[in-house]
Amino acid sequence: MNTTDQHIIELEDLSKVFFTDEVETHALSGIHLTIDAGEYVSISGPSGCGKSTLLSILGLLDSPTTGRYRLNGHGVEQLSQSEQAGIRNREVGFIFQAFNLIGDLTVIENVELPLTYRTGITARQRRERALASLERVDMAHRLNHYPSQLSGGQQQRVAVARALVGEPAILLADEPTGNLDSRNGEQVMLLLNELHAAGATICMVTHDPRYASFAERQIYMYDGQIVDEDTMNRLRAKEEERIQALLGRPLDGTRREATPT
Amino acid sequence: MIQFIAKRCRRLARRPRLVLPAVASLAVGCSGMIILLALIQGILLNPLPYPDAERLYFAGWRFQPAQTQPGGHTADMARHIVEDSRSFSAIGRFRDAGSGYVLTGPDGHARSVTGMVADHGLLEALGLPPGRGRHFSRQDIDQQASVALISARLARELALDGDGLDQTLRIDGQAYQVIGILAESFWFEPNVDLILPLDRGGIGDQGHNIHVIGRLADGVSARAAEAELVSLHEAVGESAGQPLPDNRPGTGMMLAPLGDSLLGPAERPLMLLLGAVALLMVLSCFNVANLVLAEATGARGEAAVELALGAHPARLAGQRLTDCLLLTAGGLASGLLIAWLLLPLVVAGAPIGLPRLDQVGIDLPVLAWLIPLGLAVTLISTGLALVGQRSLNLAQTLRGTASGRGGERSPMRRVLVIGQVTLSIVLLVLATMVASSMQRLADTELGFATDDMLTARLSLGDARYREDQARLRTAQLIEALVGEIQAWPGIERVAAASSLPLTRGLNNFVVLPGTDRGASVEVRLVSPGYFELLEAPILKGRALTAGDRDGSEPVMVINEALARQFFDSEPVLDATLFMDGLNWRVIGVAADQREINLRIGAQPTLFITHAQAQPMIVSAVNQWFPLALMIRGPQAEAAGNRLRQAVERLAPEVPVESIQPMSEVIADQLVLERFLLVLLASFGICALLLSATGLFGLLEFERARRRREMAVRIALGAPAGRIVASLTGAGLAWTAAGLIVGGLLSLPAVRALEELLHEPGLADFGLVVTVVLASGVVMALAAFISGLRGAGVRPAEALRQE
Ligand SMILES: Nc1ncnc2c1ncn2[C@@H]1O[C@H](COP(=O)(O)OP(=O)(O)OP(=O)(O)O)[C@@H](O)[C@H]1O
Ligand SMILES: [Mg+2]
Repeated sequence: MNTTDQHIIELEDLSKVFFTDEVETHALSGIHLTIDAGEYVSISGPSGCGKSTLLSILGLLDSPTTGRYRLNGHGVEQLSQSEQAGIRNREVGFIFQAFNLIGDLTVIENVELPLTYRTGITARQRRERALASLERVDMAHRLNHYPSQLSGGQQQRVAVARALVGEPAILLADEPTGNLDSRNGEQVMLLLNELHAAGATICMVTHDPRYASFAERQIYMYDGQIVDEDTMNRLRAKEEERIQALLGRPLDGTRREATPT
Repeated sequence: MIQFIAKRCRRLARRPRLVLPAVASLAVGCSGMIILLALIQGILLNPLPYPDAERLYFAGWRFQPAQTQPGGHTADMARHIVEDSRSFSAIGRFRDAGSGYVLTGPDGHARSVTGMVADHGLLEALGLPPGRGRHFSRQDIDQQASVALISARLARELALDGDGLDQTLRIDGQAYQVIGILAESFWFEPNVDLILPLDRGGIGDQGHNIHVIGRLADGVSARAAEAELVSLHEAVGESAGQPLPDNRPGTGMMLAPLGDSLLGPAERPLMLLLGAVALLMVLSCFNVANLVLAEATGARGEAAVELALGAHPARLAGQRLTDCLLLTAGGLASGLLIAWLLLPLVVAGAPIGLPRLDQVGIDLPVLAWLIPLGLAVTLISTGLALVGQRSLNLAQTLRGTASGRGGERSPMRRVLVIGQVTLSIVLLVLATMVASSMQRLADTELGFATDDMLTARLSLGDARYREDQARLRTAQLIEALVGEIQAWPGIERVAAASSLPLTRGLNNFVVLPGTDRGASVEVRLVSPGYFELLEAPILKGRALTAGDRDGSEPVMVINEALARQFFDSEPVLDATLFMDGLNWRVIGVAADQREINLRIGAQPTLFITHAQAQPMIVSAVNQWFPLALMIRGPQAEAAGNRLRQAVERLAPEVPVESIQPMSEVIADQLVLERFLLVLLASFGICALLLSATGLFGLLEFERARRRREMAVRIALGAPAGRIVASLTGAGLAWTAAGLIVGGLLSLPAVRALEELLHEPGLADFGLVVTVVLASGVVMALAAFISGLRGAGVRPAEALRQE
């Protein structure tokens, strides 16, 4: 589908505003972004800067307030709900921080799930492709386990298999290592590396500068906008100073919980 | 303890999604139950007003083997029982309970009053002292004194001077002196307001018209008393005109408790409704159990934390119980309010035949029912909720979001939904069957026209229509009314009869001369033009005419049923029948029509003119049955007021009992069916709505629980249809199971109904299927709405919440 001279993802002056109880939150503003086939892009930035929002829009889980979004050369704004569902199913693979496997389904059923939403695939083909996908993440030995019977790292590998099984044009991963310890986190990052090496296009959100460096292109976001690395560091340092002054002690610098509501 | 309850209270207050539907469904179930309990308490259970009422018995007469209500005796037999039996400490007679009397009070206004004639013994047996003045004495009865007893209610209505005693009232044109006001609590079915001394003569003496009520003497059992009555009857029955069982198998003496006899007819319809409303209540308990279970499932985390902190498992059961108790209290309170609002409407719509309706209300005994009712509701819902509760896997629950295999599903909740659907189908099928029975009755071929017809019932109780001149004066009255009304524009036909079609009339004995063949038949006195007005065909011979008058040859028209009974294949016209000392020539045969009511087919009936009837018959008819006036024509149904005025002008002594279009007379016959239908249909629809909300609630909780799963599925590209299907599929399967079980279970319920309405062949497979399908559509709609809401999950948002 994606020819080499075409961007997989093309965002033009995209913005997203949330309206809640008379409060307007400008989660994204003036985003320009292109991602090409085979690229491995990481997005990082402080909490609440709009990373997940951007990823949701990329994955057609949400729609932008203004701006244009072309996926594989087609504008997505005019697509109907069911067409969007079709595109999500065929072109996009999601990997979530919380794994989001379905508790009532076994490992193999979870992986088969995206294929069950397609027509023209026999049950046998589904099973074969799911098996192949699970073998790629080295989870073929746990086919009939339920998610609750797996460790976090194993669950995330199954989730990656599920994202891969439909052979999507792009993998979207929102902090895939966020719920994992560092060893399991590293394993998942290595897995993504392997997939990239095999030609997958990946867009990954992460806090962790170490993991961001796995990607070949790093994007920084601040307050709903894409900034370059230097600006980013400058703004961060400033913020830290301000907060330090407020609290009288240094922040740990990696993650700040969103203020509870 | 109080703290615990207060805590649960506060917790519930924060859960409108549990409390509102639970209390609403309980309110529906409980209000239905309270209304029914109020009816049953007021009509059946409240003790009769008489002291030691359980010692009061009807010493009755059985005409047929299966008879449950005691019949009356001949005057001779009744006298023998009263004078000779030793089993009773007091015993007395009455006749014609429920007759209409024309009473003119001090205000000069004539009104129709429900009354009866009775002797001193009856009042003594009933045992209620008079409110004021005195009851009858033996002399009053023996001397046929012109004295009257009136109810306290009537005394108030008449606004008599002073204590009301010794005042003179004109009753049926004759002066009576009020010697006593009955006790405030006096009641005799059907709401008797006036008691006159039992007369010795009269046409009723040969008929079984005298009823006997006795109070068992101390130490005498009902069985012994009945044995005494049987031997008494053996000794004198034949001479008193009551043949022995050998001659008339199935007949005989019967002793029946007074309460059962007076209230028995109300029992079956009330019990049917009680059954129906009990189903509705169980169904609302199902709803509560379901909601509590769902809530408990949602609160697993909370429960797990409590257990982990060392709470005893019984504490969790206690929480369920407390929740159910609190919800029940809320449901009962709102149910009581609804019942209080609706009860007057129900009472107003209840069939006239239901006794003691004026005593139905939400009083202390009814309120006392709330305790067992509340306990039952609490126990059923708590029990179901506890049985349905899955044991908690602490480690798994505390670990977080990922759930184990089928972790949260409870088979009990499925069973509850199936049960609800089943119950509502049964109720709805019953309601539909009553409706179709009613329709069938309404469609009955009557054998006469009913359109554009106004009827009036005129009470001819006044003495001038009861004495020697009865015949002449009645005939004159009819002539005057018919003559006047006939001239009105838009009125085409006018006729009068001794009773309206579809109502009870006089029975009299006729004999085929020269044979021993005789029978008791329906006798209708009709004016010329009666058949023409009803468009009732005369099959042979001619109808009665104005020429068939006093002095000319006595002639009668008989109906086909009577012709069959006496003449079979022999020629009917010009044959002779003997009745009350006269030979009557048959001049015509009328086609059969529904005579007595909608349910009973044609009875052997003969028609004669008022002008030719013996004065004794006219007198009896006037005493017992209001004169029916029928007018037909395009303006007839609108002529009510004019008719009333005409009667007042032409015959001021004749009160108008009712003026109704014929269609209304027919509708009145369906009042039991309509009452059952309205209540059953409301219960059925409530049940269906409860089931639908039950299913909806269940699916909503399921939807909330699976919100995240749905978001994931949407993210993976599931089409909306698949999401709806995955959310509703299970619910629809349970509904289908309930529909099938309900369809099957409704068959025995319909059998019971057939028996109650005495109408076999009610079960209609097509109707059952229609009800099942229609209910299925409602349930599917409820499921579908929940499913659509599920498909509307915004994945980005649902997945954010971690
Ligand atoms: N559904 C929503 N309604 C209202 N505001 C929202 C919604 N989703 C996101 N926001 C707001 O938009 C902003 C961006 O949120 P987003 O989740 O994209 O941040 P993030 O960069 O992913 O943060 P984190 O690193 O903590 O996950 C935040 O201020 C957030 O409060
Ligand atoms: Mg985020």
